[in-house]
Amino acid sequence: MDRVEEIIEQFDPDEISLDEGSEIYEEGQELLAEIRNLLHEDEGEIIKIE
Amino acid sequence: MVTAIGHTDDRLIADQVTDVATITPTAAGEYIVNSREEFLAGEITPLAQQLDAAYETFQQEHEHEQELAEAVDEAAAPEGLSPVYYKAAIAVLVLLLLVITGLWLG
Repeated sequence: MDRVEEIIEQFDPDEISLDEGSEIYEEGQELLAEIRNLLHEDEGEIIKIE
Repeated sequence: MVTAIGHTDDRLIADQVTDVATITPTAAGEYIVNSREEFLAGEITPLAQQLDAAYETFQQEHEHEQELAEAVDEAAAPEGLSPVYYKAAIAVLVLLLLVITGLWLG
């Protein structure tokens, strides 16, 4: 999530080109998709204490 | 970490060190599902919206700069005919002048 926030701050047309912006936007989308997958698919670990 | 041991009369070490202690497994499951949904709605969805909005603004600013650069190029371009036509016209005039002078001198 920190990386996504960094990406949002990097969107400055004076600093990066349109292609570079597209690349980091894709990276941000992939990171968010990864977080969503972890939350939906990862079952976690259940430990039974006797 | 969530525990679901119950036995509230006992003071269990696991309940003391966990993030959240619930009484039953059902309560633990409900807590986890609710926390997940809250996290998605409260953190991930707004972050995704921020990312989309920032990228859209970035694209619009790039397009605006490109349009501005094209407008400057257009304004700086010379108006009227190409310089090649002017050179050709001068060459024809000089040639004509030479012919007239030659005819006049005899």
